[in-house]
Amino acid sequence: MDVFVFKIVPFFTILIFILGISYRFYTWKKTPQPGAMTLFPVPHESTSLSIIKEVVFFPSLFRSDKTLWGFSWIFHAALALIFIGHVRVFTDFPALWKALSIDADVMSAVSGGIVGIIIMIAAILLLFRRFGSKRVREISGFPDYFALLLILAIVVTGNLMRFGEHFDLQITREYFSQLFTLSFAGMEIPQNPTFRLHFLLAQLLIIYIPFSKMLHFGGIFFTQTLIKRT
Amino acid sequence: MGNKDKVTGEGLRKSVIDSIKAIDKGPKVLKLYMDMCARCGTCAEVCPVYYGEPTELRNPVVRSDLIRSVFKKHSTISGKILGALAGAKDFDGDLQKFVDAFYECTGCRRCATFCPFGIDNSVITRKGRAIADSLGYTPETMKNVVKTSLETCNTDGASPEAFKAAIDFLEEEMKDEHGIDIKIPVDVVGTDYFYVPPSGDVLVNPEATTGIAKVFYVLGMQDKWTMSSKCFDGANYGLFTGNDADMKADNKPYVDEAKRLGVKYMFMGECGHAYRIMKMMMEKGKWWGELPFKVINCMEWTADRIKEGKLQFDKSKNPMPVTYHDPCNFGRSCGIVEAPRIILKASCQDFREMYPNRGENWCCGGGGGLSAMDDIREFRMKVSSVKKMEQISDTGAEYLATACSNCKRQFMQLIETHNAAFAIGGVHDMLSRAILINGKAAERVDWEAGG
Amino acid sequence: MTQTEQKTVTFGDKTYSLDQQGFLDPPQQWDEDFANGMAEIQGIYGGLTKEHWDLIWYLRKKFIEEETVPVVVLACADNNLRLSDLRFLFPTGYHRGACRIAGINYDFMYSTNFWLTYETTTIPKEDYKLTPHGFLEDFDQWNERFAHLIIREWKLSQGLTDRHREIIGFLRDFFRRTKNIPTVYETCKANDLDLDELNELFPEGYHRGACRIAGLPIFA
Repeated sequence: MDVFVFKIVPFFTILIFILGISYRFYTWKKTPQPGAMTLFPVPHESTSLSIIKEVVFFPSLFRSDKTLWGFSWIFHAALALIFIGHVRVFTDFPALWKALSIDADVMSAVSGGIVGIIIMIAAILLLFRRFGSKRVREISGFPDYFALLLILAIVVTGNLMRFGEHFDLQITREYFSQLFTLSFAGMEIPQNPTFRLHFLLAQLLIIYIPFSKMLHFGGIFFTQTLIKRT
Repeated sequence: MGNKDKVTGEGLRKSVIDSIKAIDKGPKVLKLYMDMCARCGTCAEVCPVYYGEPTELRNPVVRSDLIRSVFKKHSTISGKILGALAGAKDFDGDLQKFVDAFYECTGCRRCATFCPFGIDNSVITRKGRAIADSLGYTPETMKNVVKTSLETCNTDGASPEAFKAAIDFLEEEMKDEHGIDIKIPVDVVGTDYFYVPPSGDVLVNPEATTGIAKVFYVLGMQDKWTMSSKCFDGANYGLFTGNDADMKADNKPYVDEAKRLGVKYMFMGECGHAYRIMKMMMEKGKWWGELPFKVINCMEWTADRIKEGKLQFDKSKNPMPVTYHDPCNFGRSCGIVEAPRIILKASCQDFREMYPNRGENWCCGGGGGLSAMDDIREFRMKVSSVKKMEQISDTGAEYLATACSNCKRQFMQLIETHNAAFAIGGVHDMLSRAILINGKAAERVDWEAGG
Repeated sequence: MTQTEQKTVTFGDKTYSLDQQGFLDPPQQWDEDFANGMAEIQGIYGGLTKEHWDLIWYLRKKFIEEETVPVVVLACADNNLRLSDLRFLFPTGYHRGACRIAGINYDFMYSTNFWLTYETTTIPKEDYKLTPHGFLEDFDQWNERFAHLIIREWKLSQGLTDRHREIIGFLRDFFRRTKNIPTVYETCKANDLDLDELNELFPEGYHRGACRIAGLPIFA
């Protein structure tokens, strides 16, 4: 069982994700669009620059709902930082840290810890918002709660690894490097239960993305292009 | 036009589901909006209708879900497998609910401006209306307007003779005002500009048209423009019933007429959706291939002449405070926001801005063709327009200029219902009252606007 | 305005029923007394002249014999009227004035051509019934426009603000519920208002200012 779940499933996860997303992008790209859907005023800068602005800072949301903007921008920014932080689980850049004269482990402990707490708070606030306001309650269904709760569960297990009892990152690192180099012989599967849960939930999330509203992270480029190009 | 008789029963169910499944083939906007909604509720926050009275079905997401959840059920993997857990729901057979919901959306696109992803619920509204239309569920009023327009090329149902009589009358009006002959050329082949107003600007509230005629006269271009006695109404309600075939059938005679007249420019009048169809849909979407003419708008053109200093005004003819309401189709959908302000500032003493404005303006509450429907008058007067009336009275304006006949009809009824203290009219109307011809503005008896 | 409310007008000893928009319905009730009576409501005070009657008979002929209503420009063209003449004759406009007096009902006009019911006329000033001290006699005659007129009197640069609306709303609501005028103390407390702000918002003070703009009937 362990062999199947921790040696084979991760590849399926990646495969499903890549195929799912590519299929979505492909169908979006090939669907025809007669006529222009431009929404004015169009930004002064180039279309791509303004889309990047939209993706990074959410200006439209800022103009309409500042509370939601605050919650969701912090949430998404933390998500992005966490994504970057996890790269270190798979590979490290000792040369970079040396050049910047930073103690990578200390930095990761401090910034990772803070971001982990922040995203947890942001996710809880977003969850409460779904109950709290009439107009959002009306439109919240199972998928909306599920997505938030899933992320929250992943965040909580992640935080437990950082703040809870001692967690050995080195074993996990080796596991991933062996996994990605396909060196199954002599691979040691981490036994820490918190990690196992965290890892499985994360895979569930990755599989879920192409089939759910979380697609919006890629779709935003398509929809914004349609209304911003002249 | 859609079905004459209402389809019911299993045939109805199948047709609705089939046309929702067809979204998979495009258009791209619609397909994306089916897949992409984070359900954050921002659209409800900025929607004029939901603001007026927040019932659940008026929440833009709930309304759009009428279609989106059926699409999920039949056209997505997750919806097929997980059903309700993925937000999928089958069509419940109640098409009247579609009609009620989608004819309570004014299609103003304000939600798209503020949605982080730019999801434009008006596209889904239009799809919902298209489904209703194909099964004969379009409200009678709208059906009649489309029918009249397809039969006579104008929504008034006026004959070419009636149109010519009206034009003669307008020429006499201008003669009275200025003491000189100002022509409105009709059916002249080989000119540069083909003026296409909404028919209301000739037959009901004709000052905008006299304004245009005066501008051409002052510029010495009397023989450079023409109107058509067959095609004098840009209004095209195919946009509002969602029926693309009707929209194109309504549009074609105008393109043919422009070709026949051999003009360089199709010169659109003060009608937001007419200009949007010509410019953003017909011209950009290349409905009829490459065109020998360009589509331009009268307000931008006049504003350019004002900037060049070619037109002079006696502002004292328009002393009252004036404000401008951005029609959604001109502002958000076509980006014509500065031109009307240039014209109004040049011709009025006291121009005041209304807030919010331009791309963020609030719909008058009669958009998407709703303005023509008196069966939902109560809704238009008490729900969709609540905030707008406050915004207008905050400016203290006594004259509300707007470049859209639908907006004007809506405002006229609002003034009546709420006993409001302002008058309503067009942009070139103000120009017509103040423009100097041979150093003299129009002499008129009683045009005093305001309460 | 409620949906079910039946509207009527009485001229002389005859009562006529009207539709929701205040148009004669059914139109068969029309007679010259109705035209004369309705003309007065439509701001024509000196009685109907020949010029009025010419247009009225023209409209009735079109309505009854041809079952149509001409659009305003064509009606003027047919009758040799300038648009300004029409406005002079019928201050509330073509459809709301002339057609209404001629007894054409709204639904008919609307079904003939919905643009007919659209016109960009000006609505004449409403006559508010005021007490000798300038207070509104009838609490129910109040509307936002009345508040605007008072604000203009005071020449407040901001115009009618949301704060004004809040306090006016409180006063009207209080009066509607209790048939009493709240004391200045009650109003200030309920709206978190101090006297400085009160005087700023309503330069004529509490009674002549706030209560008057809210349309409370104080017969001083």
